[in-house]
Amino acid sequence: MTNVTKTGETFVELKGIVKNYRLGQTVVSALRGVSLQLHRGEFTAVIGASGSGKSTLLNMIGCIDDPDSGSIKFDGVEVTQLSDDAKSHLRNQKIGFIFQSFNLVPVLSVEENVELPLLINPTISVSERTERVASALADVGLSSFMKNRPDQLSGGQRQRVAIARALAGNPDLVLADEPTANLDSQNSAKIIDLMLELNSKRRVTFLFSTHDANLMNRVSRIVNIQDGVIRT
Amino acid sequence: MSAGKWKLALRNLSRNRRRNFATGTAIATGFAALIALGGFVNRTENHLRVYTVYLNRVGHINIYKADGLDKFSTKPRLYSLDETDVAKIQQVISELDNIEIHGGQLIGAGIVGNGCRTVPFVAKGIDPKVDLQLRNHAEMRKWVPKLRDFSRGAGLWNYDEQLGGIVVSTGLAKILGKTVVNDELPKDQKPVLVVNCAAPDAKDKIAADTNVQLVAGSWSGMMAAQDAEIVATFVSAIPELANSAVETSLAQLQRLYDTGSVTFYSLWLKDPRQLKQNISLIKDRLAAVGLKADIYPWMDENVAPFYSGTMQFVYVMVSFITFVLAAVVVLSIFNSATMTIIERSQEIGMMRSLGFTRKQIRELFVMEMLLLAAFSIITGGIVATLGILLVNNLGVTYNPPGIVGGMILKLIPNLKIVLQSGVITLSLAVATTLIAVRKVVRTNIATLLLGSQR
Repeated sequence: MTNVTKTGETFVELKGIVKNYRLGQTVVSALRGVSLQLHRGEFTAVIGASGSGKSTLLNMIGCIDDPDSGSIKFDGVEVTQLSDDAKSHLRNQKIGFIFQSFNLVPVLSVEENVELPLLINPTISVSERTERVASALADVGLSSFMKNRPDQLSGGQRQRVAIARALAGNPDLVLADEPTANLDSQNSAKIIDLMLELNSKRRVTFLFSTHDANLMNRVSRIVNIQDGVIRT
Repeated sequence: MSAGKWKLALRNLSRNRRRNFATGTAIATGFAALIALGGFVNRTENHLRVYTVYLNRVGHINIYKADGLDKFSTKPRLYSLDETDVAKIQQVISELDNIEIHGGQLIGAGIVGNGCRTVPFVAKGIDPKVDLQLRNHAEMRKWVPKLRDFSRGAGLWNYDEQLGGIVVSTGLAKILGKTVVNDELPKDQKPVLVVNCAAPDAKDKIAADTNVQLVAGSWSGMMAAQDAEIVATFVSAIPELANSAVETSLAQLQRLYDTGSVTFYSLWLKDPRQLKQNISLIKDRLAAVGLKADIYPWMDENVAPFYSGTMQFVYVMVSFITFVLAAVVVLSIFNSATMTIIERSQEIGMMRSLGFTRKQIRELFVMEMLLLAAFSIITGGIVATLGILLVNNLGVTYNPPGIVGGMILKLIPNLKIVLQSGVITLSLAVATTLIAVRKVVRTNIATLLLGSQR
């Protein structure tokens, strides 16, 4: 499935992104001049073999790693020139993250985990925070688990919490690094269904890396990356 | 935000309870030890200060004739304060509000005999009324209540000047074979004249009598002698004078040396915190009235070498122990914080990716440590209080070098020391945490997410 459906205007634009990692004496090229545009409302999968540069690409878009060269524009703002605090602010306000290993805080309840990114957003009042958490948890079907700790949930439920956390801040973009890799096929399907539903319902752009062949048939766009270069 | 962060910090403390317990114990122990150590220093300093200022009569301010401190012993007439000088001093201090007690003191040496044996003495003469005020001072009652009492007998202020009463150190009384003081004599006892020192009952006669003879070279160049009655014995505050110390009234000692002068003039202040200002003021005013004088504060090593030397030793010792304690606490916190950070590097990466800034991550770890340290400090405070109560009730006496009669081991922390110890402990905890967390907040987020800090 290679047809690309552009559902909105371009809001993330990468041009000539190069990223090299130094491992001892060896320099590994993770991205070799990658250019890419993301459009609002897309549901995009990044595929490729291990070490092909999928995660690095997501890290660049999510402003959690800096390219060696190239340009990344988010809503027209050149993020490579931003300060660390400004990038933190951008991540908090505009980007949601979902991780392969969920990365929930074990000592916090489901509700508190979802609330975590909202705590550092000074524009959100306490009442709005509560509303957003409840809404996000309702969207992922975990309203009745608000007071539970992550260790009381199944893997699929934990990933739902992570999705709720990513969505609570009403981001423009959700980045998910192999979100179903730690889940069985049944839970993987449910998570993908959920992400699709949220993509449709909330009009949030999803970009996720995956090896899961089942997912590839359900996305609106596939970005195939090989050896640090986008092939499709 | 802040409430949420504190909640998160509090929850995080429950993560590795054993490690946090160990770190908390180190902090609590360190804090308790700081309080106890502070209590020891406070007690020792106050004991020595009161011992020096009131019992040993080194006034808060001591006025000597210019160069008098060094040269009085060789040229007493030239380097003492005569009546005119004393009058000038009294005129100057009459205009000051902060003087509580004042008086001249005369130092002299000679020999004292019991009719059969003579030994050297060093005498200090002071107005008995001044002595009474000093011995009854609230500071004496508070810090050295037992030392203010005489071993036997009563102070000179209880006796008529004509009696010629003296107070001698217990060591000197023993050397002179005197076992009674004036109050213990039968009312009708007549003076004992020992005519034959080799007689079998000579020792008993001497012991039963309080009369001694003071002999000294007067300042006018003549030999002078006086009869004196032992009215009290005391434990000398100065170990070197344990077997030779004599205290007399100022007038009596002046008669012995045939002078109206004093060696120095001492002032005791109502508020010793104004010592520097008072010294400066007195110096200026004495100069204005034409008196060339040297002024020494009570802690000057020239007038109170024992206090100065002992406290220097105590401070060095305590500083060393504090350093070791601080090092243990710091290393414990650093170890704990480092381990925690390594374990939670992926979580830190997650939080950074959610938008937490470096500063907010630092704050979170500092908050965690502040909570742990605060809890530990409260625990340490309780432990210290119980420990101090226990130690103080044991009544252990120890003998620090130079303190006659020893000291009862008591730990008396004051609020300032406790607060300072708390601030030091918290500061160490915060500083150590910041050092430990410094590297991780600078680490690339992607690296943290991989758990590469592990």
